[in-house]
Amino acid sequence: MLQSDLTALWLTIKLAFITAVLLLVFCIPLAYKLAGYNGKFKPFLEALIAMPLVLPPTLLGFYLLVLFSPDHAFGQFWFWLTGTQLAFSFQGVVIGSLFYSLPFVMQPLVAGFKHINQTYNEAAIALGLSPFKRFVHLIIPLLKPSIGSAFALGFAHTLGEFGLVLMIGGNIQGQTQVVSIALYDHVESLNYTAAHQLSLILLAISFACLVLLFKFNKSIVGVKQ
Amino acid sequence: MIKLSLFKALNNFDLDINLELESFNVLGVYGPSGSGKSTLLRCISGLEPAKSVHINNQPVHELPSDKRGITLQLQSCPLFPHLDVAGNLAFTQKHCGNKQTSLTLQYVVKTLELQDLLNRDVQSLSGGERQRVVFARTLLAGQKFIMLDEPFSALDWSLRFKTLTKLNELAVKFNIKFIIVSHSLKELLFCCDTLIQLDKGKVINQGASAHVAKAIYANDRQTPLSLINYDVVKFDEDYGLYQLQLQQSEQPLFVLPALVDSSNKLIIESEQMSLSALKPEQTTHSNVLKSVLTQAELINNKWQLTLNVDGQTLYCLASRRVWDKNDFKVGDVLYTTISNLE
Repeated sequence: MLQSDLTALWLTIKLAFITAVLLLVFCIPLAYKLAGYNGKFKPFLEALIAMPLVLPPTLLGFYLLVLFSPDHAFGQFWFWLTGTQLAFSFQGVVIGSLFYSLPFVMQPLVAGFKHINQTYNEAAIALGLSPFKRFVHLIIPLLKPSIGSAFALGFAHTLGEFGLVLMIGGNIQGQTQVVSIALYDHVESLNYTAAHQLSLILLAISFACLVLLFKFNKSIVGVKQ
Repeated sequence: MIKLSLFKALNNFDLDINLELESFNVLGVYGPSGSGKSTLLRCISGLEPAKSVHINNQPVHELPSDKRGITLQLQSCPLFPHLDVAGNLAFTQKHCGNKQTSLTLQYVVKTLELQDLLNRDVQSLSGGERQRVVFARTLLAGQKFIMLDEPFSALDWSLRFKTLTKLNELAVKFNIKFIIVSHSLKELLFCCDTLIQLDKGKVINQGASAHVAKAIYANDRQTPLSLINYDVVKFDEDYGLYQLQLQQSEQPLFVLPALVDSSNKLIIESEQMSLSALKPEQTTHSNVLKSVLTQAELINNKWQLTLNVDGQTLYCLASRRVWDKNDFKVGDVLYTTISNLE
């Protein structure tokens, strides 16, 4: 296996892991609020979160590329803050992935919170459990299967990113070249052996993620009485 | 004296409660489905907002649930599935309510006979087992004011009576005030000292259980129930029966062990009783009580007969045809045969 492929593989796993963890950190409080919110803006919020499901990744990538450019206020702010540019950087790809995989992490969490709210939250309130204790000692432990599910989905979905990474990250080895782009390069240069090797590894990792996902899903069903 | 006032506008009617009750141990709330029983408990606990809730003239409607000092056990209350039975009980004791209670985990487990269930997964419990564990969990929140919404509906009558007896014992021993909602008058009559009857959000009857129950029999086409207090004389091992004696009386009853518990109360349904003017001889029934007919009222085309058995009251129904045929009169001595006890 080529050294550059190993680098791409490590970069992809790093990207998927960082994206999934960051999304969990952002999404757990957001999903908690959204699951309990029944106001008139709910359909708009839900649609906004689900947008990456239907948008072409290149479209998302294009808008982010514009946002990251030094001509844009956000790009300038980032440069002022870090001294680096977001476009064509690993950090930029991470931010793009956060948008790209958002619905895959958000939806299992919202479903988990809704199930807990409907089934267990009232019983806990009626027992006299304070809101803080309810969240920390009851809701989060009950949410573990949904957190696992959200992590597996977010991780697996980020592994397969192509269009968005190519748009905002380009194809820089060791910085933004993920497995899917390296695979594309091998096919372009007719190096099918390397393409097969990478494909098989990606297949195996994705399959393992899905096995984990269904294992967590089974646990979610298991907590229903 | 306990005062409760509450107002909440509902879709079809207003829940409007103004109660002043002499101190009680177990208060029963009786009423048809949709009369506002469960909503009443939910408003008191804070699960549902109400315009006003005052307990003993203190406004509590602005307090969050965990600051009201009240525990509510919801109908079909779930156990927490990520913990086993012991975990559910320990969780409540650790995180909920009042830590000052003298009610211990060991005492609750022993009283409700949950020893064999402690290590069980909550999803493996039967409906009755689950309700007993949920009740234990409610007790362990440690509050002095506990509300129960149809708490023992999945228990068979024998176990239900046994658990209701424990509830009475807990009320006395730990000075806990229980409010219990049930659609079963039999259940409420057995365990409550005070009853209120709700209809479309209003209290239409309130007072001592026997008094309210009598009004319910008269107004709601309910088959009357009788409550007999007894003392145990002995257990007859030859026949596997308990010999009981009515309190303040020497009249005996012979009953199956399943019907005897520490409450020393028996609920008798009117269908279990038959009357005769002459003492039945050579009968297959041994439970015949000498009684005096004190009242006869024609209710819903049936005669409801009130009988006095050495100070205790029995209610019996008779069809108009049987009443006319037998020519019973108030003041007559009648022999009441009670079936299905042995």
